[in-house]
Amino acid sequence: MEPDVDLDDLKALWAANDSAFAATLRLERAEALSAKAERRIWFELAVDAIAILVIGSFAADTIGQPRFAIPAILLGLYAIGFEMARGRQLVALKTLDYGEPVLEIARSLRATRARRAVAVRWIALIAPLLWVPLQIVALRALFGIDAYAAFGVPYLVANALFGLACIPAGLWLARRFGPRLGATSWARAFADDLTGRAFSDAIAALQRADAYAREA
Amino acid sequence: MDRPTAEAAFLDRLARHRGIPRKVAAAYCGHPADREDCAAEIVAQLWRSYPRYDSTKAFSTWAWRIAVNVAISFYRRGRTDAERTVAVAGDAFDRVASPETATPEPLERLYELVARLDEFDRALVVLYLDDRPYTEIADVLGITPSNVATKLNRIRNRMKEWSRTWTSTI
Repeated sequence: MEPDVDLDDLKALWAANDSAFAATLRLERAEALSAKAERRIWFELAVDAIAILVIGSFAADTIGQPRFAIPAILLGLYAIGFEMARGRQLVALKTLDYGEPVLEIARSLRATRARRAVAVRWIALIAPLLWVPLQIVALRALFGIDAYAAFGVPYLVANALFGLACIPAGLWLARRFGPRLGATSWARAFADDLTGRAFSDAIAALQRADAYAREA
Repeated sequence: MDRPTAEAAFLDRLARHRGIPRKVAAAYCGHPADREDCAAEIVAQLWRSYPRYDSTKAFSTWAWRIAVNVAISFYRRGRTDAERTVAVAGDAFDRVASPETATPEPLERLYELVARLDEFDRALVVLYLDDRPYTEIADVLGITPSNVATKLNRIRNRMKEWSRTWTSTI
């Protein structure tokens, strides 16, 4: 072939090798593969829903005792937010029609990815603050222990402050070491979500798809 | 349409366009194992989306769209994820997932060039190489036919530039 490669030369090469693609197709055995990823999401949704019910029930039982009810309500709101974010993601993916034009699907997927990145970031940033409410509710619900009396308020305040300090520390660690993690590892994905890098990447990709459709 | 009839219709149509999953997978995945997984995922998605297929429209256009959409997602995910497979009709999976011959070397060289393009230009080039008309390429990508022509000219020029610095021959 000439040093200057032309698309039409490649077209001829492509056509000449068309049978290679076809030759690899063969009938063999019938097999159904299960949708493990989807089942896992449904399982997690169910677990979240049960958690919301249990926390809601605890809050209702202790509604006359604000020191237990308020932590339970905070946990419940967090769990509801978590469930909504997960549910929204699932609905977005389930309703996606891959038979639509490529740029349209690219935009939908990237917008979904950006929303997911925002949701994960907030969920992760708020989580350390809920360590104290979780202790109060879990100890009371599971063992009947009053954390305020058992550990004292200073201990709980110290725990809350520790949770607060975990946020900037976690962000620093994610920024510092996130890029060194394997590009496809879950830890890298989490670090990218936490630092906002995943959101920025999704928005940049969305803009690229828009630009591709516009440019002529 | 009941399931056996739908399966039969799907397999019949897929048989007539059975090269699409592997061609698209090869354009987006460098590693042979990834290509196989990607092609399998394309077939899985074709079957999953088949109830939405409008039979008054060309199956090939619909199949190309799904193949490219799945391949771009696969490519962006950057890895094989065997868990993201779904139930596939009959033996459709094996039809495309079982390689019997290696991809010829000149074609690999061609893919080296294609791999330099971004994800949308890759789709455009693969469709062009497959001799799809501009209107169909535009329909698959969601752009206008004139836009297709413009982009192809740019790609053509870029490929010529690359080939000048390319030491290997195709």
